[in-house]
Amino acid sequence: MIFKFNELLKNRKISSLELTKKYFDAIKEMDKTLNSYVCLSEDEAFKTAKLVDEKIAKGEEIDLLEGLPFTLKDNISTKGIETTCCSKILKGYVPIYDAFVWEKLKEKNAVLLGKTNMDEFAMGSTCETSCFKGAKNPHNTDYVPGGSSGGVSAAVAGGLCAYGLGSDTGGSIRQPASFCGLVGLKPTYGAVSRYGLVAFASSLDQIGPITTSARDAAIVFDAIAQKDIQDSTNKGAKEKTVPHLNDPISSLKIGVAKEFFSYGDEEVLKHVNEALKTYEKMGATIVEISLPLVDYALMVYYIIACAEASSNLGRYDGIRYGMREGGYKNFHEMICKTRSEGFGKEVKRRILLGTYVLSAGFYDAYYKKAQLVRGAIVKEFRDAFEKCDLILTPTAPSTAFKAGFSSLDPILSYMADVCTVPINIAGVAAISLPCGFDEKGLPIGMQLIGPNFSESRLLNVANMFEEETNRCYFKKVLKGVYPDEL
Amino acid sequence: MNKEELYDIAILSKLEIKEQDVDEILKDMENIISFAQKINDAKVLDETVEDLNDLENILREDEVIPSYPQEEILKNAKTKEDGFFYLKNTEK
Repeated sequence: MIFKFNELLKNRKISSLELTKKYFDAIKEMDKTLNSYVCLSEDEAFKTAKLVDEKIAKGEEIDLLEGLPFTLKDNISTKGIETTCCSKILKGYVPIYDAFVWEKLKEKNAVLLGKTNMDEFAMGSTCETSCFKGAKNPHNTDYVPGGSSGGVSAAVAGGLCAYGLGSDTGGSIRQPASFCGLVGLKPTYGAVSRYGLVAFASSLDQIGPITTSARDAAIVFDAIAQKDIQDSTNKGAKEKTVPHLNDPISSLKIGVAKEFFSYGDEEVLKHVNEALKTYEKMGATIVEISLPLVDYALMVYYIIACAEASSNLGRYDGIRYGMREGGYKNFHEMICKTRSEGFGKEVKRRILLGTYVLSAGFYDAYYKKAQLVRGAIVKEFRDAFEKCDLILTPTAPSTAFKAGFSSLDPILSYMADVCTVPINIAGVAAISLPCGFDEKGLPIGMQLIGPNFSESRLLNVANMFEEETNRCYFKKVLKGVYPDEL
Repeated sequence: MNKEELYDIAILSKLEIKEQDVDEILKDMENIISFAQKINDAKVLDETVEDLNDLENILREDEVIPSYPQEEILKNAKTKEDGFFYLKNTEK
């Protein structure tokens, strides 16, 4: 899609300004139903689009992402544009600096349409914990788009932007990509700078692209995965991924671990198994592997993520930014009232749990134990990658949930992340790509997991699957903006 | 977790818990904690915490570099005075 849009812009079939206007018109028409955007940045978008059009008029070369409209999840800081993490506590907060990834895209004159909906502070798998109410799945609006980057996925799948950036702490890029029939890349921990990403769980968070194809994901990843000294855990990407998209995959060894196949719905497993057969047909070898500790990853995740969140979210005190609740008698009460009023139910639940596992008397039993098991899981993945190049799993055990799912038992909704969470625990890279539809017509996604800094190989293997299957699993579902219709 | 423990955790978390929400929160916390407890069944042989991606320490010279202007930093504060974050002791 990005390549086609770029051709249209370069050949002056459409100007960036016209394209941007088309997107805003589509958003105004369709987003009343989808609710994917929480804030539009028209001034910023038109200013950049005009600049790109002037460059084209002068006959200057333009980059692939130049003049192309996209969106950012609302936890990525944008100078001068409200950034709320879809939480009441941050309503009205306008950052005074840009996130590194937005800075990189700005340098390329990418056109920011606005900020998209998400679960509050990225805590959720449905987009329903947003203070702006949840977004809807463009494939069927009775269903959720997934989460937490649900708004980005809904917008990309509905044709309301060309691509988007989300963040992934336990599956928040891959699961919504899977639910909306898109490609979502969770880069290796440290490949993309977290500078300017509002922190949820700092040892797990990564920013990555949500796109309609592996090729687009590669283009966007190459633009954002650069070394940044402002994030001390950042290394940047190992290499550019686009030149490797069509590398041969005939010698590829794909690992299959039964642990990941014990949760999935029958329909999901059927399509993932068919994808495995497609890879076999393409010359790949399937290797059986075992990752027994993966069964504990979900517990490790909820202990570590909540512990880190309870610490990271300590900064919301009503003094320096965000809302402040009135009617207090002293300093402590002011902070308590502000936080109790400003945070939603799920966020408070996780802060309480995180504080509990870090408190004296429980620290060793929970937090320390979780860190040790995490270490063992890291090693288990390293050993697995001695036997295979990549691991293939379902992205989620089911297709999209009906609206209202997140209000059920919290454990049940945490279980939905069972296939994606182990990857953040291990810090490795993974990509979700569409591989079928269920009986209701909802998309099914599969996940490819690779060792640290293997994004090039992952995108290559995903791209080859798309080419082999003729991109039959990407479906236009709404009358959004598409390059072949302009 | 009992009621008293929940209130203690709430104080540490700087959160208020309303009387009418206590039972529901306690039930949720109990469920999540008993789920998390299963982690103790995991057998870990080697007691080391692994590094995620072989990070190395990055050191730099301790130099004074320009930072954000004070008025920028104060932009998002609800109340400010003389270049400081300002907060009244009580507010009705």
